Amino acid sequence: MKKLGLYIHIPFCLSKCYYCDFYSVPVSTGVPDEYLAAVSRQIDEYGLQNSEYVVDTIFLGGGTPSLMNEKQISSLLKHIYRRFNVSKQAEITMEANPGTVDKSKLKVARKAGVNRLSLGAQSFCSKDLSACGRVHSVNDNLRAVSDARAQGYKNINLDIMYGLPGQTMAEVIQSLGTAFKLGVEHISFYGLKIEEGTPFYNMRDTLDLPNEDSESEMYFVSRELMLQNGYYQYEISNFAKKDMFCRHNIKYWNGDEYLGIGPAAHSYFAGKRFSFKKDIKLYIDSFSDSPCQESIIDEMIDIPQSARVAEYVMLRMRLSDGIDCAKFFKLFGRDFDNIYYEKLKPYINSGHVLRTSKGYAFSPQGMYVSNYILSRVIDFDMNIPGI
Amino acid sequence: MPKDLSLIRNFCIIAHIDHGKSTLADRILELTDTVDKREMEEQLLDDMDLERERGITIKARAVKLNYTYEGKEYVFNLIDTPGHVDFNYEVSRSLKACEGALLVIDATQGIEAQTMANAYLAFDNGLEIIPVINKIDLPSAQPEKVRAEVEDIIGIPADEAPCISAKAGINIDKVLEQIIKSVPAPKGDVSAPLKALIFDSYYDSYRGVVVYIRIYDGTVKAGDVIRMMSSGVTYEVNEVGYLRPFGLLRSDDLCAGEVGYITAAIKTVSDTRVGDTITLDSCPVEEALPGFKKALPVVFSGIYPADGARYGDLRDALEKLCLNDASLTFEAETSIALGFGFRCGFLGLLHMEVIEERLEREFNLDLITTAPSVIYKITRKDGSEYYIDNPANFPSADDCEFVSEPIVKASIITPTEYVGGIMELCQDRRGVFKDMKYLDTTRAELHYFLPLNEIVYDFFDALKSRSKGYASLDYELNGYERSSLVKLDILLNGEPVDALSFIVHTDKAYGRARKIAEKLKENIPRQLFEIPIQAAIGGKVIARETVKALRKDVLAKCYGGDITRKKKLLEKQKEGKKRMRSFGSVEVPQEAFMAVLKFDED
Repeated sequence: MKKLGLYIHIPFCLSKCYYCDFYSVPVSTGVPDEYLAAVSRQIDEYGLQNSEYVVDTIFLGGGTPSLMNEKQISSLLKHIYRRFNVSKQAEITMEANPGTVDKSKLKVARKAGVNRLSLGAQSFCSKDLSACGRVHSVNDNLRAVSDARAQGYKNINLDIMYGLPGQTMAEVIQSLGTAFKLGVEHISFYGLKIEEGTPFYNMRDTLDLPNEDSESEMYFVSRELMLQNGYYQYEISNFAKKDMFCRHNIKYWNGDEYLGIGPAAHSYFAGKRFSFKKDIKLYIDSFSDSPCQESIIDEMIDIPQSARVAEYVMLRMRLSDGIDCAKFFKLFGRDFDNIYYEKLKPYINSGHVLRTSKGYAFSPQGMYVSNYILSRVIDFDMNIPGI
Repeated sequence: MPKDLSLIRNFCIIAHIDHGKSTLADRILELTDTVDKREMEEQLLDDMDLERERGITIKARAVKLNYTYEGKEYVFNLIDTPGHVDFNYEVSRSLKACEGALLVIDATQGIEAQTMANAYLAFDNGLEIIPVINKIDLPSAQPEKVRAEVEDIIGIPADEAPCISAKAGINIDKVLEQIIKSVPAPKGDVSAPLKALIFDSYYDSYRGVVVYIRIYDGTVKAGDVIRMMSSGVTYEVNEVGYLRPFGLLRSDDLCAGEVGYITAAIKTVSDTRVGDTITLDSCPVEEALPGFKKALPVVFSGIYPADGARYGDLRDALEKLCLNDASLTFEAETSIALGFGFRCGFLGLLHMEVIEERLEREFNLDLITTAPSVIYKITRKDGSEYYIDNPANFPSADDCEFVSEPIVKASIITPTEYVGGIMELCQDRRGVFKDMKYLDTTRAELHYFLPLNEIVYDFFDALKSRSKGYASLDYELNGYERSSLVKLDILLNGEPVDALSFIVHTDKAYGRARKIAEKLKENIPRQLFEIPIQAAIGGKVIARETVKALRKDVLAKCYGGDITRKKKLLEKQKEGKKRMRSFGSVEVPQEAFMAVLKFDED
């Protein structure tokens, strides 16, 4: 039996946040049924063909999955259970906007099997929330967590952002402190990045953004605080209490297989990475009774074994555990040191890369400049003899 | 058929840049029915792309034209000359091939530095000068004022000077009439031993070098064995003929008084030095024509391929350019910083820019060039002397009594209101004032002695900006002078980067050092460590900047398993790294080298 992750994209939001470049469209009337019908149909196509897989993680992401109504949430999950072999221990995450989630939805979702809730709290300062164009309030954040607890959610994540316009170190610490008090199991701690095509991008020259040095300081001070409060850093931006890391997320960094469902969704399956176009209408058409001619596939890349090696290193190095040389050998039949030691050496000497008991990992400082280092260590076109 | 020398006119056109020399040449070509108007391209004689774009003539050209006047058919040999000071020697050789010169003056600008310089050159070569006042169609034209200037400043009669518009084609026939009336017919003895002057040459992949010559005495024809008098090398002539606007026209022979070409399976233009005399091997003249010298480069710069793998391509390109440019020199050079490249010598800054641009454009090369240097003279403790053109060879204090640098005599003509600013500029560039003359009530001519190394950077640009573009410059080398010079080294992370070193006057060292350190700081991206940038003289640091360590370079979030995006980001970063040069652990982008070169005073 092979393990498989499922990602379901719900590309609808009440309104677009100023920093967000993920694919979603604003709606005021909830998630259209016809969209979910197309999702079901895609699930049908996959599920029937891939029965040898056991689905051990499901992630309802967005967009705003909590925009779905009770009936939509439960029938979507029920449909997945019908078409896939879903493990009893599966981690089932739903993302929710604190402003659009209520007791009733939380109850239905929990009953339908959702056992992990990821709340886009972002901050516990009203100023930050309005600066980003978030539709919810600090009170919504607090209420959502207590409602979720009341409905029996034992695994809650809060997204917290730093490096927001005008945000001070004290405000970041305040938001984290609230998260600690609430006792959430998991914190995704993301630095703001100004992406092209977002409202922030258009106002970038007028935004009061922290410089590289103060942003880095925010990160390292926050990281220290989280460690002191019992959150283990398992990935660049992700911190969790003991054993509460997000299993679905780790699949991405581990080179495991996952299927993405919905427009703009990405998949890694059977040695191929592929994604769907960012086009809801085309998606609905593609999974209708009379599919249109245009392909929904945006990009389909065959990953040759040699590139898979480089990819594996790139992805695993995001994790605090880094590379396990024995596992690497098992996967690729090659000695990791043989290929990478010389390239890593300067960074080992400088303390950016650490030798672990099992292999190599970034030091916290190394992790925060990992693009710089990886772009000098990894070569996707590398020709590795015998691979 | 015997040729009638009295019907031949050999002349050139000289002018300050942009005064309309090439346009007048075009009109003459049209009017003599040599070129059909439909076939005319603008600036027909300037057939290099670069020449057309910059409006300058880099290589000399010549063309034979026919013109019927009062029933007689005349032969005109028009010799086009380069107009820039870098090519002064070439100009003088082209002038030597003529009996007369059209001195074109812009009626809106009047006499400029190069008008004077060229007029004097023409005098020195004994040419009959015909002033031509151009651009009279422009509203701001003042032809009578210019006419007076010509008489007062240059001292030649100008009452018969044609007032023309080359652009509009006005009075061009008057110019032709003047050529016939005023330019003397060539003299020469057809039966005397061959004496011919080389005034230009170019490489043709089928014929070998095509040599442009003016014959003073004797005759040359295919099959003759000729001798280059400077080198003594002999060749058998393959072909002789005339230069026509659209190519070469073969003829049986070339005789005294005529201008034409010869080919003789000559492999490179460096075997046909401009100014050399050609004679017959069997019956040589006793004395060569006076004035021959090898054009020597005065400005040097290291040229490196941005991509080290293209070293071979760069060598091939330089070799090809040298086929046609005897004054370009290059030799292999190694820089610790830049790897393998070439030390190239140029006649001047314009020549350097033209070569660099041609390398990049015609050969599609991406280059890194080092700061231009002049040739310094080093006097050792024991009194012996040697020359260096590369800062890398600058001696240490204990092996050097003193250093001397080349000085130029510069002449600057400017409207009087800019005199103050220009004097300030010259002072700032360590100039020594010689004298100043008022040409008339509105314009002055300044003479300065200036160190060549102060004008190889951006002097011309600074001069133009201080005079709103009106001042003009001409200069000639005027020997060496002892000077207080030091080598400024640039250290990155404590390691000297040889390609960034340069020689500078002591008084200027601090300012320069600070400026360069700042520029490098702006252009070197943050890296894993703090990078000290230091400028030092002989181990003593005189300026310092620091590139702070990189604190953040991470993709915080990977949306829904979008791994491809992260891969693309890393690959883009990898591409960026390819454009960097590594010095020890420091990576320096190509732009940093450029930024240091583009050095301005403000």
